[in-house]
Amino acid sequence: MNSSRLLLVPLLLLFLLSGSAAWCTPEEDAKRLDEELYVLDIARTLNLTQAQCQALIPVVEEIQTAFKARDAGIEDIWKQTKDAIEAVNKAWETRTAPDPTAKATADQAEGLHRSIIEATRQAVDRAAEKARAVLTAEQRALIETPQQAELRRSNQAMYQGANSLAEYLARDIAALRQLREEEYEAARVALAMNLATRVTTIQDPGFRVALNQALDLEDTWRRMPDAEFNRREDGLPELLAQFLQTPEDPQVLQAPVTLDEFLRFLTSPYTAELLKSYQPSSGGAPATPQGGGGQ
Amino acid sequence: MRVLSPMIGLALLTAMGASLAADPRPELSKALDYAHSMFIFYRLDPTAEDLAALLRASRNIIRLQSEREKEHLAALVKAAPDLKIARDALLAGQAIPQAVQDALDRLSETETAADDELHEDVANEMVMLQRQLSEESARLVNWRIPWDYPLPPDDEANVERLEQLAARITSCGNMLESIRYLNAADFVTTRMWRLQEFLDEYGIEPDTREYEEAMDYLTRLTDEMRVQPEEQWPDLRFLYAARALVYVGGLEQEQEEAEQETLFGFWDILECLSDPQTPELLSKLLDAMNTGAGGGQ
Repeated sequence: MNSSRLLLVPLLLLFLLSGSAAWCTPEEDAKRLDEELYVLDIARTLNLTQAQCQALIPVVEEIQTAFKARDAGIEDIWKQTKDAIEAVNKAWETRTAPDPTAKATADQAEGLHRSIIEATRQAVDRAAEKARAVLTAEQRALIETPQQAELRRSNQAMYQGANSLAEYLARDIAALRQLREEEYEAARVALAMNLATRVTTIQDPGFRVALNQALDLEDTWRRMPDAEFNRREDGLPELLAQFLQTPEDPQVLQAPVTLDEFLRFLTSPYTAELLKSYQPSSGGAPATPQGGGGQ
Repeated sequence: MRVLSPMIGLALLTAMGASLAADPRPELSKALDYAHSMFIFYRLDPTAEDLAALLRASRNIIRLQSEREKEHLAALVKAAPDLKIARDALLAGQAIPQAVQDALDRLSETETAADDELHEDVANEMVMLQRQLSEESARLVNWRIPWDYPLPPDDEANVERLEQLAARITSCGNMLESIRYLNAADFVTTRMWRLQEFLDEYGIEPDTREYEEAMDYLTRLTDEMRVQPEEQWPDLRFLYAARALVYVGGLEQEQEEAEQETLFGFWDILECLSDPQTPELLSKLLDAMNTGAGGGQ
């Protein structure tokens, strides 16, 4: 081997170590940029201070450590049970009963796999709690809590994807505008009845008042010119919430950062590196720090 | 304001397992998913035609997802210079230049629209699959598109639903009006069978307590309705109709479909069909069925 070839090996190693980005495809680079932008956008939305960024770094690194442990654990189980699992799958493919010992091993592997995934989920939840503790009360209010997320999901399940009953009914009020006049005359009473029965019972003396208010509301929004409707449509759920006497806490349904978005921010593989060099725009965190370090 | 609205579509694609790059799941997870899909397919007790339909649906869904991801990545590559400017600006605590922000907003809009289209196409594939499967297999699945499937609110469907509601109210109002104007002799006999027909329409079984109570309520309602002053009737007609419908549950915004016993939901089937391993699995199951292999299940 001549000297020029000998020199090539360390040069190649140096290249590999120093410039891994050079080996990324343009698609991978673009995906990374997109993800980094996502992370930075959440950091900006939360108005993180430099000190908070520093305090968050070990928390997000803890998550990456949990992910590595998860991957290593899963890999270990695979090494030990690969033959059994593949034998079971192969048997089932041909509609034959698998060997009972292999089946027992595969079942055990599935149980272990589930436990590892659950343990990782719990580790992420714990880290998210630590991360919240780093933030001020005002910053925390920008993020959906697990309870708020649960409420939102249960509302969405109940109201076909709408965040609340009011938002769901607002879609109907908007749809009333599309009906022909004779259809509207019939549907308006039914919808008003639906609204009124959510406020009081038919037997209640106040029912007629509620019904008339609902009819007025429908007529107003039906007759509204398109330009005005487009301008005011976003406020309709709130108006309906007032009518239904269930004004929602705006933070419950409109937290700028959903729980899923916050978890994506914390679990992204790029977050720790970005937080190390992130420069908050100005002013730093709002309000008084509460709980946790890094303030 | 978010720089880019969250790419829910892409997250979904990833969750569904479609990827241009190598499948990112660990081998164990892949093998377990494979076994899980096989379990679901067997529980559907499919015929060879059913397996062929599942195979077609799986190939189509994976192709749609793969094409969308290619398109998404191409859009990101094209936008990479803007993404980099925005990233560097945020990292340095600076504002994103307006022109870049505008370009990213446009990108977000077009990507969301393309994701919506994908989700609609995939949902259509599921609808087609439901039609192609044998009745025995199809009825084991709840095909109703779940709330968390990312389809945008369907304004047309909302209008259609209200049109149907208007039709029910109008029909009920006509029925009540016909009772209102019955002469005294006909009223006694004809009213009851008209109300019976109405209750039958809403699935209220005769000879049940519910039926007796409903009949009692509607009898009182129509008695009350008949004595209302003529000049007020046009305003009251739909109100009485709505009251009658409220009682029989016909005013519900969504007529809940009768809950059938199903083994699997929409997501169970979609996740199986989106797994890149599934076409190969279904081909094997189809081969095994055609050659009459095994029989040990």
